[in-house]
Amino acid sequence: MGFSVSGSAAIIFLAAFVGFGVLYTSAYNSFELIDTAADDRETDLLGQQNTEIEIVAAEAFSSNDTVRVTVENTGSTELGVNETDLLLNGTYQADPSTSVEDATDSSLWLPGENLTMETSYTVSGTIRIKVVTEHGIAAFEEVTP
Amino acid sequence: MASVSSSTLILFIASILVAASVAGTMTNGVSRLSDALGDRSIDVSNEIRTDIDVISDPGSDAVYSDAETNVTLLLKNTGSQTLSTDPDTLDIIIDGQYATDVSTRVVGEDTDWEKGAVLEVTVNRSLGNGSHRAVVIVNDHRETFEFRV
Repeated sequence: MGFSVSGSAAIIFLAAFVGFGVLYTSAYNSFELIDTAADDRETDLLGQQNTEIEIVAAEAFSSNDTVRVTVENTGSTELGVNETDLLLNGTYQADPSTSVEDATDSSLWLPGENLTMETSYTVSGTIRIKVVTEHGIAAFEEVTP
Repeated sequence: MASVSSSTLILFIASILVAASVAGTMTNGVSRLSDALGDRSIDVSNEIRTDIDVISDPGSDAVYSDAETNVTLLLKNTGSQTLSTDPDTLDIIIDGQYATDVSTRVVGEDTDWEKGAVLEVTVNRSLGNGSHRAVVIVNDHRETFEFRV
């Protein structure tokens, strides 16, 4: 009788041990996954809070159908040039030429620096210009040729 | 004496069988719980990593086309993971009505809807003059965009 109880208890303890191991590993991995995602989210939110831009100049040239926009990074974080979008009259401009002040080929746009974006666009009447940064922070301006 | 040994053996076998059965049920339950926990954590992680912004200019004529009777929204991926461009993974609701005729394409130099990329979403819908409201839902992340026609 004693041996039966001991054998049964040993089997149940072994199963409990294995079960705890499986559950602990799974819970730890789940926590890690969510914690990493939350850290990334926190970094993005911090970048968003530190982002601010201002359109300092906007020109539309009807002579050669070109629009040139100069935007200053007035925030306190670096911004990606390739992730900055330009909308003219609400239409996405796929491939504007970009140039960062003092660092023409840079893909980074640092605080205090000006980014100039130039693109071909049929100029007629007032043009609504919207510049959107990688964090979704935008600046708006209207320009008349 | 032999009958005592037999009954002891029967009790021993029965107790081992019961214990094995309990252990099997327990490990099976824990395994299912563990799988569910793993799946849920992936879902929660995706929800946390998903963030989009509607960057369309609400005051422009590019949002609604009278000629083609469609609404075009520009969605920027401001989260930390690449999102699917499959229209089935996006829920668009315009003026409270679920949009079924939706097409998508990534604009600019990007090919996937990765971090920083912009997705153009076109919804076939006829709208009258006045203010309208579009709601976009991706991975439980909800964005509202109001515009005027």
